[in-house]
Amino acid sequence: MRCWRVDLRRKTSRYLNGELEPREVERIENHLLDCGDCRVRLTRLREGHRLAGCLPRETPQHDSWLAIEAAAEAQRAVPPELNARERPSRWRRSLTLPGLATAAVIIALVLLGAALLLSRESEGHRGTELLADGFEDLDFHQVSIAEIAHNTEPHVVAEGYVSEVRIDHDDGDLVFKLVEDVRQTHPFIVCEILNPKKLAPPRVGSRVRVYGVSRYDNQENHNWYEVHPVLNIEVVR
Amino acid sequence: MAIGERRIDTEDRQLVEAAQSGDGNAFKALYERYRDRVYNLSFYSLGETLWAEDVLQIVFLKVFRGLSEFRFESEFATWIYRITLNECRNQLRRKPAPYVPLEAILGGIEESDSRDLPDAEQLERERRQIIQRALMDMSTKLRTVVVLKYVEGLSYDEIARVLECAPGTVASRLNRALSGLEARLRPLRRLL
Repeated sequence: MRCWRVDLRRKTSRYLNGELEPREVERIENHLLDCGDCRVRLTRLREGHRLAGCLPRETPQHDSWLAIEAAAEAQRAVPPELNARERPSRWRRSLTLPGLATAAVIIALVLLGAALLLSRESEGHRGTELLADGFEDLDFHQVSIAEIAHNTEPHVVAEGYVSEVRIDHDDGDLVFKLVEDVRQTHPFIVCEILNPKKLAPPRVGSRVRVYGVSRYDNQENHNWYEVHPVLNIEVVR
Repeated sequence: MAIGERRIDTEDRQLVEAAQSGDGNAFKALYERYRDRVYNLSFYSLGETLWAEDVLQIVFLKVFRGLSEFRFESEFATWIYRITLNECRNQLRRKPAPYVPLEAILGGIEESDSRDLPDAEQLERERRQIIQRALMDMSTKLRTVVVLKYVEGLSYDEIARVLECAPGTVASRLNRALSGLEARLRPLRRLL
């Protein structure tokens, strides 16, 4: 017969885990003496409890510290007003879809405007450009675009031509594509600038050396190698 | 709160305060203390190792960015678990986790019957893998409470604080999860 003591049934897993006060344990055990339905239920939960206790603890296969440290270094330079972008959930909750689209367009225009302004300012001094704090202390491993898949170092420098510059619609970051040959679309590396005020995007067609953190983006429709975040850009020509 | 937990909480507080004042070593120490916990929760939420490693990086970057605003209104552990779960939810919204039906696991066992008898270690690994996959077959809500309870070792009250719900909700989700796990693995009971 089905037991209707919902108040006691709810506490069964707590009972199994020894997280009940002695008085409640006594109430449950007294009830179990008289209730076959709850005894069957307890047996099943005890088996589930035993199985759950066998679940393995997983550990990461790679140490992410160097990548986190480098990204954190780059973030130190981000002014507070840009950090507002890091709290999307509150914004998302309060905005409707049309509102979100308008906001995205405004953000895109502001970022592009800032990027163009900075790109004009930086045209006068080619060579080493805007540096993130602590950048000089980092050791960058030279990689070619075609062979970045074999790289195991966290900090890399890659040289190539800029084939396109755009704003990533997922997170609002400024991204550009680096290719070996301007006439070819592959192989390429996607480079992401977190702070376009501090680091201007390069012009399409220019040859640049990009310094930053190497990572692989395995999101659906991505599956490519990235320099993310970009810590510095040197214009070669 | 147990004495050991209080000590951990005090150490966390010291590390967080040092990291807030710009001590990079303190932030690294926090990373080392919480890396496995964040990864573990991400892995069980997302079901992919590379994806979980990606989330691990994002979570610590978010912790780094938000640390200056952390005011100890909750324990640091509670805060970082919440960040992890929110990030996993965001990731799953963008890309749903692949569905692995239990039949696929059962099929795997039949295949292995034709091979040589594996050693005890291999059997144990397969056993844990089967239980893990059965858990992955459940909803994220149920999976999360099981992982926080049985892998992370949190109490019902601590889980309730992480999930921002009542301890009674944690209890009823765990009841459902445990009976679901038992029902899914009942056909394999003799093997497990």
